Amino acid sequence: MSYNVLIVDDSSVVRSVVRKSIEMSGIVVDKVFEAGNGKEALTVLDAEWIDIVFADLNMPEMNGVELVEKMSQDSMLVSTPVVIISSEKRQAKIDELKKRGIRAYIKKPFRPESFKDVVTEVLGHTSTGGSK
Amino acid sequence: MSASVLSESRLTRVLSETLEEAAFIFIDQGDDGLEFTRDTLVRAGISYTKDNQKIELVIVSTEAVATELAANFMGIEPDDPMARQKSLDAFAEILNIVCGALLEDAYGDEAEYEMGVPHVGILSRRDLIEEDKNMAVRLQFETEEGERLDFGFRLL
Repeated sequence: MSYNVLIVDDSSVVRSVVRKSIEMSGIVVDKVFEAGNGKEALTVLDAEWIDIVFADLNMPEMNGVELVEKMSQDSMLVSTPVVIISSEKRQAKIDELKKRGIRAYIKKPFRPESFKDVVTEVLGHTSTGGSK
Repeated sequence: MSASVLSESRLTRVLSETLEEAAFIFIDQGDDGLEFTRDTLVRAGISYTKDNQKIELVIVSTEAVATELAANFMGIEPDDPMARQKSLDAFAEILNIVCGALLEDAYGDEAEYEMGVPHVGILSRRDLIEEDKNMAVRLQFETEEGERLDFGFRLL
């Protein structure tokens, strides 16, 4: 099984690092899409099949919380899992985000293994080979 | 309370640990009189609010350090054009990570605070002198390559 992944972060360097970490984690990826904020992410989500979204929390235009809220109100997107990647470490914030529907939370700085663990947890399994 | 927990030792420890863990950059306390090289200066700031007190964390260094950060983040060589292209972005991101680590270290993960979005830009030598007057704390470090890196905060 291979996955289509959407990376949402206003920092292009973070998007590059997340992309590389996903590649290094052993997750088999079909396509990786990128967006600079929640608004751009919704445009990608409208146009493409996305299996999992990795999103930053603090972004201009539309932040990660607003993105999750918009997705939860959209019957097409409500089941698409969102994983937040952030330097914020407040437990209350993480709990609140989980109540709002995020599936997992990765704290920065992160290691590539974090992505494999999260994808296994969220999508049920990972693969190191095979095709979609 | 909100700013008083930002001791020099805490700022130093969290900055050093985060630079090492996130970007493989090692720093030491800078010698008195260590000057910035002639390279372009880069400044990043991020504010947070805790107990109605707004504080801005500020990091200043050279474009060479920002380029090294970008290279290390992305696993490329510092002379790769991409590293320089992403240098400001990387400089902002390291401060974002440092801020998250510092807030957890200072206040714990149960505390209430609001973190902002990092801002980054080129800093003129004149602005560097002006800003120095407004800083509550400014600590000076030196990277392994001999570049100066300043870190501190100001009350807003």
